[in-house]
Amino acid sequence: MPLPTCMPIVNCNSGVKRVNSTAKISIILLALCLICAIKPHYGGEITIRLNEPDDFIFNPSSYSNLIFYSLIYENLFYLKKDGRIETNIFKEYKYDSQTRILNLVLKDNLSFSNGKPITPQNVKSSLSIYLDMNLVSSRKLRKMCKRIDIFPRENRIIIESVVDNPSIVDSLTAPELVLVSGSDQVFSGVFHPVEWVQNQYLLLKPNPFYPGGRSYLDSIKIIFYDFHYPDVFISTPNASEPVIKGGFDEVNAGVFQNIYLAFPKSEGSNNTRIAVYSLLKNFFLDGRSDENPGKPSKKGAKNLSLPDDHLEAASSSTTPYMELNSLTSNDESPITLNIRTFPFSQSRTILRYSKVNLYILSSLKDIEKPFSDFLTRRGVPLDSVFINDSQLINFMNNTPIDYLLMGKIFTRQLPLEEKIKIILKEMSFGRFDETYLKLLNQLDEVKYMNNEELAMDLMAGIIEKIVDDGFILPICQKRYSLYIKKNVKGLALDYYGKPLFQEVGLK
Amino acid sequence: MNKKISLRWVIFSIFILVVAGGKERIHAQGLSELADKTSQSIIDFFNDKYNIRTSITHFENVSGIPDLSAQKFYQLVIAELETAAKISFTDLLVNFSQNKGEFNLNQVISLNYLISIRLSRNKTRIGAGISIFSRTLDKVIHVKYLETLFEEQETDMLNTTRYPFEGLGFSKIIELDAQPNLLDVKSFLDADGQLVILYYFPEEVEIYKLQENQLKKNRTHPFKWARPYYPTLANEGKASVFLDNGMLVLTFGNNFSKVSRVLIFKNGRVDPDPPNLIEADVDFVPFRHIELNGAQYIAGTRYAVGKNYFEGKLILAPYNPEWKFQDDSYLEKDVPSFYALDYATPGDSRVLTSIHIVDRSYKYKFYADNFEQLVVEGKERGASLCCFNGQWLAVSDFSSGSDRLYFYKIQGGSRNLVFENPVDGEIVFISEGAWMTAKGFWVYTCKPGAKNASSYVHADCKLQFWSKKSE
Repeated sequence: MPLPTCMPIVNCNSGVKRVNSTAKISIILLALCLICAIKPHYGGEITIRLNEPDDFIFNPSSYSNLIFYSLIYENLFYLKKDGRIETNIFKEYKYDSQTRILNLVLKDNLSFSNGKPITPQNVKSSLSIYLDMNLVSSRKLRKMCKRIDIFPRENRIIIESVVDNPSIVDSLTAPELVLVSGSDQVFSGVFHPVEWVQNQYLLLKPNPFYPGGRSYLDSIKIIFYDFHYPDVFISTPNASEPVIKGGFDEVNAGVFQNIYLAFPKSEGSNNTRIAVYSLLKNFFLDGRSDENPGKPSKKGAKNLSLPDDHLEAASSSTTPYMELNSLTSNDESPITLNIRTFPFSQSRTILRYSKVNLYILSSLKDIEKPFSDFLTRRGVPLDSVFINDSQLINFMNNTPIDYLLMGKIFTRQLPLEEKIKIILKEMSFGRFDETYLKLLNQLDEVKYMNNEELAMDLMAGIIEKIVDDGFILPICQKRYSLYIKKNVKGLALDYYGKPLFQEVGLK
Repeated sequence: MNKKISLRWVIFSIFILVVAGGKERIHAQGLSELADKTSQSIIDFFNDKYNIRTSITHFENVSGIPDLSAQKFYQLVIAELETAAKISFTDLLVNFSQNKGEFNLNQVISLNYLISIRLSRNKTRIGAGISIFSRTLDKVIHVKYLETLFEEQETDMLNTTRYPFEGLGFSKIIELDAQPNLLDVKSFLDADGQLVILYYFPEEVEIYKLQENQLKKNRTHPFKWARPYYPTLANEGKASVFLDNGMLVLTFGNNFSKVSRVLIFKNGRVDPDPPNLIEADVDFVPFRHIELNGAQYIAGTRYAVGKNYFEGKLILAPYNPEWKFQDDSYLEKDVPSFYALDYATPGDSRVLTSIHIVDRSYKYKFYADNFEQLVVEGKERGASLCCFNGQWLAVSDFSSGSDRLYFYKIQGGSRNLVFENPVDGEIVFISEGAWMTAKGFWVYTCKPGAKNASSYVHADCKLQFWSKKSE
């Protein structure tokens, strides 16, 4: 005999007041329950405002590019903020001190975005591309790496080190070391591009074969125009607009971009160099106001039609750039540099009588229009040419470059001596000689010095030497914060300040 | 001194019980008297008739008594009718709300008498109007009105005893420590009558046998999933067991492979002898072997690959004893995409009686055997669910934090909530199974551990077995 049963029914004896309050409580409980729903929700789209890339060939030359390429290319290893090393590609990575071999075993059944299998050969090729990059981290790995071999049947890659180096895996966590397939239309990252409308947007869809697990989102739209307000965007820290303060979380990326004027060739008049330098300082720091040069102005910034993040910053503070009085960052440098500048009128006069070609790396492409407007309005005859960061070395072999405007991304966590090393190695171009080698050796010594004062003295000497040599002059620094709309969850930053979108979803 | 206190306490307790019990008797008198009269009247009417297949298909309460009391009245009536010797009674009630019962009328075709009951009020008395419709004669052949005194306090008492038979309900029989990332569990008696338990993990299935009251590992069967392989942030999987013509068929579907692995043990035992084991793949996730309109099907669905839910499609693959299916012969029914599904079939047959779904808004959906969606209360929600023996449906609550487990009776296409129990931790899945001599539900719970970027890493996971004393 079945048991007498009852249905869950609302108590009808309750008075009207009681029912109302019960209903309210039920609604609140229901809402709370929905918030606490146990399964992660799949679906939705988020918008990110970034600078438009040139193409899909991996080229993380600016912070904006670093974010873009991290969406479509997968790193071999990640260094998490807490120092943990993680990988989505290898099921095993083990270093054997006796043989000095790092064994990497690929996970089974991994594929690129088009379903093509990820093989040990792809990993080897990706490592080779990284080792050929003009980066301190890749040079370091190149030096320690004796051979890279693959064993396709075992899905295994081995890296033999020249000397015993248990921390070799740390060297593989560089943000620039990504898995590439050999085609710029096949991707290893969490998303892959499906639609690109130039100057408008780029639509990314989840890579169904992404080794770290398919994204919760249905799509990410990367927009290149002034859009109010995207779900994620980069801007200068401490934005004061109420809309941003109320609706967004600010995450300090710990990343900054320094802009330098470099003189790859030793020829050239000193006065012209100072004139170009003064002009650029004027543009970046106080040249925005026609009425009152030398003082920053919000109105001036808007008149210049600054792109996205310029405008964003201009509306909140005055300029996204801070004057740089040292080689890396003002607050960490042991010395402040006093670099001579000319008044604007003097610079203009000098430049009118000099034929100056200013080469600008494409990672600074966002200044193209404002800079051109600036030159036109101020009547300065200066030709500017944008060149792709990855093509720079090839370009220099064929074309003499006297003036090069370039940006370099640094993370705050990187020690000062490492940053100086990067400047020496990656920006001295053909001038690298035994003097610089000596400076590098001195920088290595800093690491082992116990006396902080002595170390700082040594660093100050090295910085002075570099600036005196006159191949590079610091102009300004741009700091970044990442603004994330409150309904976006799961966005984390890695140790290098790179946002990780792998587990991003909508609340 | 202590003895004296204890004795006084016992006497006092007995006094309270007597008083309370007596009060309850008084309180329940009107309702049960009316129910007795109603059921007796119906039984009397059918006394001189044969081949009586009947059901209540209309039940309305305009008497002013609460829905709960009307519901109780209904249950008391059907309890009598179900045990009446000459009557074959089917309970078709799906839901009772706003003074009206909702019935699964798809079953009406198999009945020859339909009963309508309407509760009404006559001052302090409550009346039941009964009418009986003959489908053979196509007219109402019996009308009767009965009345009884309904004491004022009675409804209050009924409202406070929502689960009056809780002691006889589902209870937790055993709780085992379990590993995280468990996708499903199944337990069944094999050809030798030994209890076999399967633990389904993404990369393998661990098979245990119960020997001398101890679980002993029989074998581990590794899975080699072929491409295309879709890595996921949250693994989901479903294992099913089919005992068929002396063969034992185990199926393992998941959200990271487009195919489900089928292991066919020809001798009905999960022994590690390879000649008896045939491996195959099917392109959907099998759930149950069902019979629909006289035809045999393997009923299932498909995961949305890489995601944590099922595509919105119910799949019926014409049954093939060799487990070779052709997708162009599948019957497919579109439904909203969903988190949980089960097909209810009575234990002694494979005839499909109902289909139960929790969609991606955590809304519970109930389908009749002809795939027609039946109305349920809009607020009814859930997360995981499972049917057992075609008689019971277990549904978990849809919130994290403190979870709950609801047991519905679903016999004959009806659905009534009977018991509910709080559960420590979050219910990840519910699965049909057996433990020792009891049959019931496996419930896998996890307490949230450290929280990563967007989701909990499950930690402290338990496997509970819930059964009802009479099952």
